[in-house]
Amino acid sequence: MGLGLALAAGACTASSEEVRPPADQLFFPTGLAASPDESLLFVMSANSELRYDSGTVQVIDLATVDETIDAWLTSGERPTGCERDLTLPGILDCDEARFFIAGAGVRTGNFGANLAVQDLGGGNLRLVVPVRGDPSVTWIDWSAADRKLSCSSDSGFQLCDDAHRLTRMRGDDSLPQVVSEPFGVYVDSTAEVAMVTHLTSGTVTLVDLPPDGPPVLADVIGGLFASDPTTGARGATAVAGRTPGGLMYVTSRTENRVQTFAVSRPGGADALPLLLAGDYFFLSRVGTNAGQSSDTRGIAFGAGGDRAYMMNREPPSLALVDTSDDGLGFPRNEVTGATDLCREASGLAVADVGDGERAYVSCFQDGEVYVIDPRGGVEVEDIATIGRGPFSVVASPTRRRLYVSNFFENTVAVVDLTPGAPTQNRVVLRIGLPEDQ
Amino acid sequence: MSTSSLRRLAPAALALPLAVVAAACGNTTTTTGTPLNLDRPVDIAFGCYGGLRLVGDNGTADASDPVVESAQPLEGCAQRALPTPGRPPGQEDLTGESPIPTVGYYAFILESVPGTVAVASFPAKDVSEFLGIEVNVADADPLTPGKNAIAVGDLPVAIASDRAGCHMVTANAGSCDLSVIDIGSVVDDDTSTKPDVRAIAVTNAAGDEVLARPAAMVAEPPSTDVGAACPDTAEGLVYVAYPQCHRVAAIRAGTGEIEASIHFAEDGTVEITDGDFTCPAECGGGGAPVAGERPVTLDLVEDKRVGTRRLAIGADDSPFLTVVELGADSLPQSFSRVELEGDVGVIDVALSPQIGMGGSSGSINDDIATGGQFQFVYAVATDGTVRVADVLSLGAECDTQVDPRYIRGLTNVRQLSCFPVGDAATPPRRAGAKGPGIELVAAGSPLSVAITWVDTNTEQPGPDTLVGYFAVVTSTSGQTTIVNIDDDNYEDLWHADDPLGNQPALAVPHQIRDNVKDRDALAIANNADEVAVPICSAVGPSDGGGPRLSSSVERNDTVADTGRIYMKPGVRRLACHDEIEDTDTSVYEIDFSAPQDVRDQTFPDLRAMRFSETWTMIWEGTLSRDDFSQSIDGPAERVGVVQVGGGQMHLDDPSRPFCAAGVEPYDFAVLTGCDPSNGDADCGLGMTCYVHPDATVAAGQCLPIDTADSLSGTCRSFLVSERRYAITETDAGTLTLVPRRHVLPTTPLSGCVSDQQCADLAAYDALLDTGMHPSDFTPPDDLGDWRCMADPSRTAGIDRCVETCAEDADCDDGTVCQSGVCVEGVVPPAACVPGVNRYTLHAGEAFAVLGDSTGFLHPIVEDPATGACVKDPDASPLMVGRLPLVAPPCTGDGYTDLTPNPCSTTVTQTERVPQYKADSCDRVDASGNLITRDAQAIRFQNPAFRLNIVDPTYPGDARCREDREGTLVDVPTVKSNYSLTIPLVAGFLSERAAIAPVFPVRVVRGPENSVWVIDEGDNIPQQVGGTNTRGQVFRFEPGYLGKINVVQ
Repeated sequence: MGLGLALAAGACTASSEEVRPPADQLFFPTGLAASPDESLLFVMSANSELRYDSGTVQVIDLATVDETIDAWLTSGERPTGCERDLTLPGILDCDEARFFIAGAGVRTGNFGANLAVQDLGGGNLRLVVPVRGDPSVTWIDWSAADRKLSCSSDSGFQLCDDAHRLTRMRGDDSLPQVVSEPFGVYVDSTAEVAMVTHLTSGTVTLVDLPPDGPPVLADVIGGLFASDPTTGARGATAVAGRTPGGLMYVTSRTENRVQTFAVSRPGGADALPLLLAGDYFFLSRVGTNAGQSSDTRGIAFGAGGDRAYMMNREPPSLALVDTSDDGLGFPRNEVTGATDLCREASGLAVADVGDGERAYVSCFQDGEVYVIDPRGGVEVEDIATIGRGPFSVVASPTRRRLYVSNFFENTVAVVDLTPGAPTQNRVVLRIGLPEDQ
Repeated sequence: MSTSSLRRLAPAALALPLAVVAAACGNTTTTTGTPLNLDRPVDIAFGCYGGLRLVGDNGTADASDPVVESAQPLEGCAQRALPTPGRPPGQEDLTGESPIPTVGYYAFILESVPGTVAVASFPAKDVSEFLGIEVNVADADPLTPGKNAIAVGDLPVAIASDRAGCHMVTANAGSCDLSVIDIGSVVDDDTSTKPDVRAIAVTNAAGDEVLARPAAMVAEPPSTDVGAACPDTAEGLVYVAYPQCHRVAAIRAGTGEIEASIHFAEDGTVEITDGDFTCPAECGGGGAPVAGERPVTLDLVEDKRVGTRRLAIGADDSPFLTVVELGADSLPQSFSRVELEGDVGVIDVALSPQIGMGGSSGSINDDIATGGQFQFVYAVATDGTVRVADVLSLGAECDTQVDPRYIRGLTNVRQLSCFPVGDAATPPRRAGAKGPGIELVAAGSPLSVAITWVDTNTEQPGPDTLVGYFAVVTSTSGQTTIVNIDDDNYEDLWHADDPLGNQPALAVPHQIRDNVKDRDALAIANNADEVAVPICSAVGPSDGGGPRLSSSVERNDTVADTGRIYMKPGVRRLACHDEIEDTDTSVYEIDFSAPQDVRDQTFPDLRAMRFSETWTMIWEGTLSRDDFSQSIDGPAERVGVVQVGGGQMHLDDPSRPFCAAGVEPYDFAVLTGCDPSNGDADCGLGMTCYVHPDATVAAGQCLPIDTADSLSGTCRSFLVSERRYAITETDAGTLTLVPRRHVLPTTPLSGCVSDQQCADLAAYDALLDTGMHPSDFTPPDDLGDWRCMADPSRTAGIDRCVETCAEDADCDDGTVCQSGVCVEGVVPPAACVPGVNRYTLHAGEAFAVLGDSTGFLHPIVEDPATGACVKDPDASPLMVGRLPLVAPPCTGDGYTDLTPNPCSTTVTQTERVPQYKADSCDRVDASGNLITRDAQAIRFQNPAFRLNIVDPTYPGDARCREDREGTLVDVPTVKSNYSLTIPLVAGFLSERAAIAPVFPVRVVRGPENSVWVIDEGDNIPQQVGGTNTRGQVFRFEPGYLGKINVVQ
């Protein structure tokens, strides 16, 4: 399809208006992030077929989502723009525009994969978006008062300007540009930093996030992971922070090492933060070939930071890592259990919605979400059919919902997590009308 | 019926599309992969199908009895699979009648995610005749390409055979019901009959549907009466664990009616109930979860020898094991509970038969065993160990981690069979044990456990010769480990007169079985009279033997080839007389040729020597040794931030590694800067690796590119020094540093007494840096100005010889002058240590003892109240990784004399020394004299070994090198980085099945005590060279470990 578009583009030049992405649609949705108060869901549309001149970040009002779901589940009410799913009649399919906060979205570069949220206080937020197409680390502010995103001084459907697209380390022309293929992102609002992984180079970038000033690409460390002996590929994939403790864990697509990092501001609180590479450990207890498991595409910490879930593709498994303090002042970092997973797992979220912690894993290839109970032997508790190409997963413990971006059908699926509900672990709403890509 | 009569698929159905593709691409090479028939299996159960005489009510064979092909109890196959094949009563071939058609086994392999059951077949024959090609996947639907499985339900989690052996029952977590499969409809040879699979709703006593999700299921023991026609539906009871309902329900398999349950109430009580209860409707959308134990694993054993039926239950959120007595009707009668130590849950259980413990006759001897009767539950616990409890006589958890040092004198087999956890008579645990459970070695976390046994074997004791009872444990990294429960082919007790003959780690129950052969091998050889006599040159068998030095202790001096190794600490050597060669020599106490009592004391616990590994003892070496390829005790070189202010210097590391690294006060840190050969790659953004032109050290320092040159003056003292700093206060995240004074290495261990003594020792130290004889040596004029004084940068208590100065030029290279003394590093201006700084941590005035697989052992923990690094008062005295040259006296030589550790003692040392001609330092011959002398030694013990390091000090030579006729007292000769390298081999090696599953989620004991490992498989893409198995099933025979069948 991409080739066809390219040929078409060569035949006649489209105007900028014609290639401007729609403000009321999802197209190849990838990254999701919820606001800390779980009132908003930010959705990245990656524009992966380059149909438009940019990607977008849209804002979904989760209260509206809940109202629609509640009415649907209790009385079967189908608002305008919504229809019962033809194949799975328990699902309500709705036009996504119904849930978008009008005029709140912005345009970004193409091929954004993930996004993360910094809490600036007072309901104000900042999104940090690794954009692979630029490449850049793009930042976008959310104003609680204006209820809209902003990444430019322009009005309307803003395209993030150069000031919001961080492409040069420390903004200094004498320093290197941001490394290509920024992929994973984690924000530590307390430390006011973000960590970005780079998918093809085994590099991590540290972003300084002063609440009252513009972010800065503060530090970078490369060569973290060994290259794959067969393909030569290497890369950093997932990143997450352990709280308390402030350590950040970074995984690889090419080896079974998990590298930890700490952040320090040696020059004082106002100085730029620096990365300190700390201990590392190996996922050496799951799978054959000396227990190596790699291509770790997701990390999430349980409440309290005492355990981490690590989602591997080789072999397909979810490993539970004991990250509790070992009495020495240091995380144990020992794999204590694991379960087999679907193939091509792509997203991971962890939440306790009232019946103990669960891990939710999206299965890109199978169109499913695995629900995994970490108690005891780490067991697959349920498997939910989600849609085509489920990618990012975000849980809302308060609302007892799971949000999953469906890359291939331009939707966000909403899964009911309410314990004991007839619809527990089932999709009840699709934000967006499923379509073939 | 034989396996060949099963429905099968023409392989061409698979091959054809591949051929078409190949032709379309013009490629004449046809490539086919191995057909994969399984899809992520999780459980297995067994059936028997074939010829059956329906014997009628009289139970005997009559010519008039009809003979059919039918499913039947497993006993129908088991009798035919005996070493001397037999027949169940009534199934004999009758004279003049056609023989009864053959029977064969069928394995029903549950595949959870697709919700299917695959079928494999294997013959009913003696396991000794197995060739590894017997188990093959069958096709349940010949009308569909491929070898098809049977669709049974939504997310089935367990499968079991019913009592009659005619039906398989699955418990389905996705639909909260049961499915019943008619075995005959699946495996008969009739293509017109489709597999008969029926969903059975589970109902309570009121007839209401119970929609709870099952987690596990077992069936009541199978009937052994062969000769009855199959009933229309499943017979007997199945026990199903419902975690969220906190019950294990006894369900009539054919109807789904619950007849009883074991209820784990919210208040912790347990009761046996009837079927009158409800559960949260997990599949029906009703009922909120309630608290209570979550039973998730079951095992049911009928022990016909003693006439019991018992059901073991484990809960993933509770340390209690529950054992239920079942009546003849298999309904629950009573229960008992055993609490495991700690806050653990259980994810898999295996219940043994009643075992008569002890014996080494080569046969199971349950009725006459000297250790008495036990019945064990093996439980995979959430702490990553396998717990063991006796549920018969003691009703207690057994401590499997008792330190063998303490049980050598025990002679009571019953006591050895189970050391009750917490019992006052139970000896201490192994150092470093995480609890009472069995810890796998380099095998990940345990996933599943099964118990099997081998009745008899005439082979000599050896790793692969299994006789007795054994547990088989699968684990996350794909290993299948064998654990001794009652090894009836190995003596039970240790004997002092043959200490290597019956080693506790090999004899005591509940230990991982060792895979190394000939642990009792001795350094002997036959003389001319064919009598075995001691020899001194033996290195041990190449494929076995006890732990020992593999080659030689390597001693490396940091001073270039001065030949002074002889005066430095080394591993004790013992006299040895080789009776074959009739020569006297010396051997290390850790050599294979050392006396066996010494070897036993040196390596008192085979299991604790977890690896064949090389240990290094490095004087003032680093506390951590990880490089990029391993993760054991942390990176040898780390990064932190140096904070300077108010005359104080701190090293901060936000990852808080210092207690974990084992740092103690007066260790030291080295700021290692950067390696200029790497350009600026070692430095952060905007920094350069700057090397001061006056520096005599190789390391540079990362400084800002634009200010490096201007800082060269300000930072000179810092940049030209070795940047070594004594650690005076230790906190998990911060070290307080002071400049380390430059001290004469030959300062007496008991302290110096005068400046003149220091001057004399400086001259002696200068001699040590040469290879000269004392008689040939003239000290240089400029030895520096060494004064005897207190040194606040080292342990208090003695004065040391410190180099003093007026300016940097007065100090040795790498040290600089500060406040009149030479120091190895100065407190730098903050500008000299910008950004992050690399550092290493070193043991102060001690050898750092590190195993290349074990790492650095230490007792340091973080004080949770203050964050300070303190010694754990509960730590084992064996958790030690530093060996100083001064230690308190030893208090005994026994196996259990572990404190103080290290300790000082006097030992004999046998060694060869040069013999000089009179009045010269010319040697009489190259070999010298073999002498035995008393030597001071530091005894060092860790969990793996004990050894003596002799000669912490050296008296000096009077005339010639190595004459030992000097008069120095307490004068050491070691300098930084002097090292001993001790390669040890024949460490413990777990006995494992020779199979390679990816994710062996379950292990099950099958027919004839075969062991079946269910591998959920992988999906490693072919393009990166992986093998996509999609799951597989392995069968191996515990009596013939080399016989393995693989089903994919």
